[in-house]
Amino acid sequence: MWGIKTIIGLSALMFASFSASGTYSLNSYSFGPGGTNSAASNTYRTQSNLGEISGTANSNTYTSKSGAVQTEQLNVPAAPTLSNGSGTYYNELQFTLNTGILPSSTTYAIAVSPNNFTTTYFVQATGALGGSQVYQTYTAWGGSSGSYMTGLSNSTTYEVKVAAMEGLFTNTEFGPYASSTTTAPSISLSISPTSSNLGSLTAGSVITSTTNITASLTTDAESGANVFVFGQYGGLRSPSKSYTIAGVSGNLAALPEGFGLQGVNATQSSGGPLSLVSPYNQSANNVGIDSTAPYPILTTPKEVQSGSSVIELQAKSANIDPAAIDYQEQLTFSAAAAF
Amino acid sequence: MKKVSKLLVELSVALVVSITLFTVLPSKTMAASIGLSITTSPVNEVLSSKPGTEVSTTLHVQNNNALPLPMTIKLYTFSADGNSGRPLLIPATPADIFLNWAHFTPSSFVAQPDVPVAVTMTIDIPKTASLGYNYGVAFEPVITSANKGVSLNGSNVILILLDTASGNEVHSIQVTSFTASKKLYEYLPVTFYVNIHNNGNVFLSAGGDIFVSKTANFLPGSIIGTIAVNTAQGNILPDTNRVFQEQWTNGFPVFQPKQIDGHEISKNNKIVYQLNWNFSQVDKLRFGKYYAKLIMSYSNGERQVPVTAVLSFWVMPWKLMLIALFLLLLIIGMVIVVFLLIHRVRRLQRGTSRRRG
Repeated sequence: MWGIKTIIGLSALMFASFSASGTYSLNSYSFGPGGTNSAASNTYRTQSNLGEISGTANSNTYTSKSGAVQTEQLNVPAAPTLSNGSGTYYNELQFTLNTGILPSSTTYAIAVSPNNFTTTYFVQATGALGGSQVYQTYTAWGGSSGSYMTGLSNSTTYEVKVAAMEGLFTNTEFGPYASSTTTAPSISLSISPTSSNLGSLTAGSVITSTTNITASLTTDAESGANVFVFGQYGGLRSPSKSYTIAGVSGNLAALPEGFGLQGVNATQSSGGPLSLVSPYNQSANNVGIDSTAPYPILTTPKEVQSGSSVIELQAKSANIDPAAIDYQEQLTFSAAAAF
Repeated sequence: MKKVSKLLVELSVALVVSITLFTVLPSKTMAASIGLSITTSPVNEVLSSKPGTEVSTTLHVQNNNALPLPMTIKLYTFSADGNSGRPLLIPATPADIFLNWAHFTPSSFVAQPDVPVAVTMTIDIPKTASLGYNYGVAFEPVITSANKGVSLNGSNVILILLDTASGNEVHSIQVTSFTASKKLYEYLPVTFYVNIHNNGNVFLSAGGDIFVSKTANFLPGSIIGTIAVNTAQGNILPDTNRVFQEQWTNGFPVFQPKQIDGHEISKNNKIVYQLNWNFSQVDKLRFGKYYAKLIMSYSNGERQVPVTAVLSFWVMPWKLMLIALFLLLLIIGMVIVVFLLIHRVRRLQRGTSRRRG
């Protein structure tokens, strides 16, 4: 029934062994999945090939994939260099890509996570974090100067890793990550000196302090901060006479008596601007109140560096005020950020 | 005679009421005589724990002066002062029982120069607690006032918002308004105001983005700008409003804060802006009608709830348009002049030819 050639062929197949020598042995071989290398549409493009050995080797420290498609891929980028500004960035981190030998036309996407990539975000072109990968060149990501990822939470450790791509079918996986921790924002207030001289109060005259107060404010609080002022007595108090020249807001020249504060100027080296709050921002003999309740005297809508204001005290006594040498007040300046 | 005696009386009264206020050195320490400088961190914090539990956080304070400074801790409560997030600090009263739930370790200490001191704040939340509580924790140098004159002190207040995660909490906010500072801009930036009202009974924070598009349908691919809102994660207290101000700056040309030696300049308490012509951004010349869509979300305790709002505005760089129109008219005029000249020369040439013929 079967021809002699068929029988010989089948016999040869049954007894044939795979190629081998003293230095190698081919245990098995097979054809890979077939396909075309030009499949594409408006939304996808694929590359595939035929007859390659498939497989992936893994360990804890490396992944090796075989095949021509894999060899087209770029080197996986090294971990980026991160900086929290020597402990000064509380809502951003600076990152600089480490490109190695990758060509300059390579584009990179940056993945960020606050929880070891349980949740992953991607740095957008604006620096904000978003849900979609944004590929940009090394130059667009700031080059050697780096760039900033923004909108981060304070006191949080972020892991950052990078993927590379250059043209089609070269996209790498995300590489190893680097981590850095944002700091907590802070606020600094300085008051100098710790006493102010009003001299002698002459009834009916407005007396201005000879020693002005300097209040300085520095903060990296993104929503800014305020300086409040309040007094122990809400005016100049004579314990021996049980009398208080009350703190007032208004024109002391027109009022019979009173005690208040006036900001002379507000400046900053950067940020802010730091500004005086009404009624402490007046001139001449118009003063803001010294009250036992905190009143805002300085404000900044955002971060400010070396904000500073000179504040002077003005007082006026009436001729019905009891004479005393123990008129006193303790003014407290308090700094607080926005909530 | 009466006038003279009255004048003498007034003069004597004036002399009597002359009050001498001497300069005093109120502090026990040398540091106080050269001023006070304190740094605290964080500036605010949200704590959350259920009634019947305790919650802790670490606060840091540092004395920036050269000499040791005795420090104490005072407590305030606070509410919202306006819609900017500024606290209205309220001195503690006996009615503020919740302030007694907080204790500090250490509660008083001597802050050595330039050494951060970590202070643990622990709040024992009773089972009867509900909703939220606002603490203002003030680190204040201990200064002994003299018995005359004006002494000065300074303190830093860290704001703590406590959420008791109790069962009767209502988490709800709404966008009261979403506006731009103008309807028509010549150049960017465009300033957006997002006014949020907390109509729940516990403080909330909301975050999100403003998406800018040339089309009203905001289809994928049509978004040309994304501006994050409330990146500082500011809170909105119950039954209050808070306005978040954000800017869309991604344009050409664009007004940017003027800087000298790397520092922003301000005049009359306002930042000074100057027009920046970065020609690498020339493809971002903004022109025409734009739409902005606000998408924010907040947690209602179970899931994120979105809130949205939409507005439109125009960007018309009219000076650039006038210059472009002028150049266009100039070119058209030149073309016409050249055309007329050519026409005239040809007529002259034809006339000359006829005469020769």
